[in-house]
Amino acid sequence: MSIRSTAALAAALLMLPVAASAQLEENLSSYTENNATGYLEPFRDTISAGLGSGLFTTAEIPRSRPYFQLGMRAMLVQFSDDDRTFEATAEDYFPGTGTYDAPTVIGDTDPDPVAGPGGTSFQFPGGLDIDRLPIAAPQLSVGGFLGTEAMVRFFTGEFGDDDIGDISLFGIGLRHSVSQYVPSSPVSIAASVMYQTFEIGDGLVDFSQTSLGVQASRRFPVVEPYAGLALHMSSMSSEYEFDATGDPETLEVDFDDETNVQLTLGATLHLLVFRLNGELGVGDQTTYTLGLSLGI
Amino acid sequence: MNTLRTMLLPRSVTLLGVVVAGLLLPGCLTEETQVNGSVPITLSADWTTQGFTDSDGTLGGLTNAQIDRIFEDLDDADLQSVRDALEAGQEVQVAGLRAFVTRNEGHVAQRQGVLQIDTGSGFEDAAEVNVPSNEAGTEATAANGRIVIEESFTGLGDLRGVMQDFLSAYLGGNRDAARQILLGLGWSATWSSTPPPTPQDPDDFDWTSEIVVMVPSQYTIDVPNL
Repeated sequence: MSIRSTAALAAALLMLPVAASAQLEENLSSYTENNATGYLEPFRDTISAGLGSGLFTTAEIPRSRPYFQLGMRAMLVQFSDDDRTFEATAEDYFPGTGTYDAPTVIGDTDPDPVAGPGGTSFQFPGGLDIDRLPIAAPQLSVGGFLGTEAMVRFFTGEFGDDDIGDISLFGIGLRHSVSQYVPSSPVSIAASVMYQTFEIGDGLVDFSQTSLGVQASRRFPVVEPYAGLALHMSSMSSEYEFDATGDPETLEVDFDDETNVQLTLGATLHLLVFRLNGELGVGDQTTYTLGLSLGI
Repeated sequence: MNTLRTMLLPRSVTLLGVVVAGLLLPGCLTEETQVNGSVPITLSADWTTQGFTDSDGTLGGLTNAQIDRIFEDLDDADLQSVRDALEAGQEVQVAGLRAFVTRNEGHVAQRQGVLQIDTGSGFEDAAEVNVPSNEAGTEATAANGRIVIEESFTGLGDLRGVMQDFLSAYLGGNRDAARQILLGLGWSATWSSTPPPTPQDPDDFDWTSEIVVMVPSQYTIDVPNL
């Protein structure tokens, strides 16, 4: 296996949504700003829900017992039917009027052309026909100092423009034990703040998210159920080459900032030095997360 | 509790290994999908209007330089994706038309007229053009209402068949035949000016009309899915 294919495999493991980024850019090239926003919106929401998941496996943060956890989080985001289409407008040269239901990035691959007068017709680009999207991210947590934990997510890869494109994920966060101030609390409670960025290609997707959250858990001998509530504030921009008329130009699309609330319910199995956790995330989109981490 | 740990550990690790492998192996997470797209090409016609008596003009057709640019647009595309789309039954689309004034050093006035195209059987109406002014930078599109394509106009519909023939010749490697097909196209424009140009204030402006053609393409890619 060549270095390139090994790198490509690593990227597939870590950042599966970028696997179709080349096609994404190709399809985007047919769209001006308004349509591009509608086309990519489910993608933004997916990244938001996915990266907002799997951030913790417990709310217990020791006050003065250092520890670390290194692991992988695999998040599965479920799309709804409403995510598959958006109201698109044809380019200005097409004589049709009004808006049309066109596939979003996760919608149908082969939309019918829209018929206009005088033998004209307009072909909206297809989507990728995705019902569920997996996202994976490596994560390192180090804590146990004054009841505080630091979290880092990081991955970067350069895979050329023809295949996957360059990708990078960076996240940094802090969690602090609240229950250490409430000795009688029956559950562990923690509060968190997390900042994450996710980029695909040379500006094709430039996503950032700040999350504020509170978590609670109760540790039993092997199993530790947990719950969390988080507020995700996301922003995204996309820069691509618009080429719907054979005269290419670079467009930059800024998406409206989005704020989402996400409820998390999960459980962690403590297996010696391993932690296996599964969780359900409920918000604008439903996420399923499986995580495995190793640490002491 | 130790017994429970002992029971859980190997089973859980095995289960975890299966689940993680299933989640992470790309072949388990991706599926092959055909995604439709299009390759845009533009048929441009450049017009120059000078004097005060002309109210119409006829162009012989595309220039070789313009046809070379169309070839370049197609050369840059993934031709296999175009072949795949045609084999899947997709067709060339003529998406519309727009026009814009590139230079005006003469008479400025409202213009209204008809653009026609000859695909081999005489000139047929393609679009009505009505702009409030022919100042440089003026654009006429369907979206701004300055281009109107009536249902009865047949020029662009006929062009669609011609472009399908052009594409077949091009994909068959016969560029000369493809070029001849495009060279056989003819353009004509007829308009009125309000107020009309005069000997003291004659027309002297350039404008361009563009017909946008969407060549179908179909890509086979692996998309993440479960």
